[in-house]
Amino acid sequence: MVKALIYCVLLIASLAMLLLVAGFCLALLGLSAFTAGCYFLAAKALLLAMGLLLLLAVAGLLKSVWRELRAYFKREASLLRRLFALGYRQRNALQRTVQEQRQLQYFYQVQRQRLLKANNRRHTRELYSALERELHDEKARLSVENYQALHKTLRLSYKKADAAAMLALRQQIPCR
Amino acid sequence: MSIIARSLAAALEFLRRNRDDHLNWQLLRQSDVAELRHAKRLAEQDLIAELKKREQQLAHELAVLQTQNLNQLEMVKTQCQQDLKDYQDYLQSLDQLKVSLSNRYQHLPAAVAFTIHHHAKQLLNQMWDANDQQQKLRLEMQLLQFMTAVHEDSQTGLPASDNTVLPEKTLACIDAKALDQIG
Repeated sequence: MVKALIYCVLLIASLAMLLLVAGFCLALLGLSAFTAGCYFLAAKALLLAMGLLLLLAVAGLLKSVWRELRAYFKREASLLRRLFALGYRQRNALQRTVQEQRQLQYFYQVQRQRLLKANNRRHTRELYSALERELHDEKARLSVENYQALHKTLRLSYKKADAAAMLALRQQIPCR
Repeated sequence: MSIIARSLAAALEFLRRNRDDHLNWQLLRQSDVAELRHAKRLAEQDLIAELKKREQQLAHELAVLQTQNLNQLEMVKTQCQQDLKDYQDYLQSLDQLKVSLSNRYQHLPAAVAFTIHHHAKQLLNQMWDANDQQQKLRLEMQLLQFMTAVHEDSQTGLPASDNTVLPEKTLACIDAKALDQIG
């Protein structure tokens, strides 16, 4: 069918060429009326050939699109696609488990650190209260500047949660 | 004219011969073509059956894997919750030890009580963070020994007026650990 159409197109195009040549020969012979007619027919024939060629191209395109759609919606193709999807989900599930376990471990570590921090804060507060009391008890034996400096250092160390600094400061408080 | 007629007849004859050859070929090969078509259909059906079987297998494996993963995650979650609870209990018991030590040795400075408690907490955190099982066990033993020493010190009977007595065993444990670290 396609071959026949292509032959038709070639035939019509050849006819158009022949008409052009004939028109040219007639022009040389001085028969201008026939020349115009030949050129007119040649143009129409060429237009027809190009139109047929365009239709052929469009039909070919539609045919290939239809063929591709049929292949896509075929049973085997859809089953293959489902197989690939299942394989992908399987790999995904394995990776997801590992990541979720890591996430759980991370959240657990965060909660543990929070507990530890709260505990540290409470004990540091108790230490601060005890050291403040001791410093206040020894206020009479210290100069005003010394007392204020020690108190300020103690307060700063408590704000920074620096227990080592508070313990070191305790060495500077004279004991009874 | 006869030349044109002869050429036209030859062309038509050629076309007719072509079509006859094509028709004879189709008639000769009709059974083979039908057989080929039948074999193609059978092969397609076999392929579809194989793919369906494989699909069911994969779907089943995926369901099993998902169930296993869910159970594993639940186990990990439960273990983490239990570990957290254990850690909280450990912290509370260390706090209790500090309180009992402070109650027994009322003259004991807060700084000393804090240091003892801090040492115990350090041992606990080292034990908790250790990855190697043997090291974990070793640190756990150290912590237990330390807590035992603190408990024994807080249980010893003291004269009411004695302000010089200190928790000897506890302080000895801390000194030994400090010497270990320096050495």
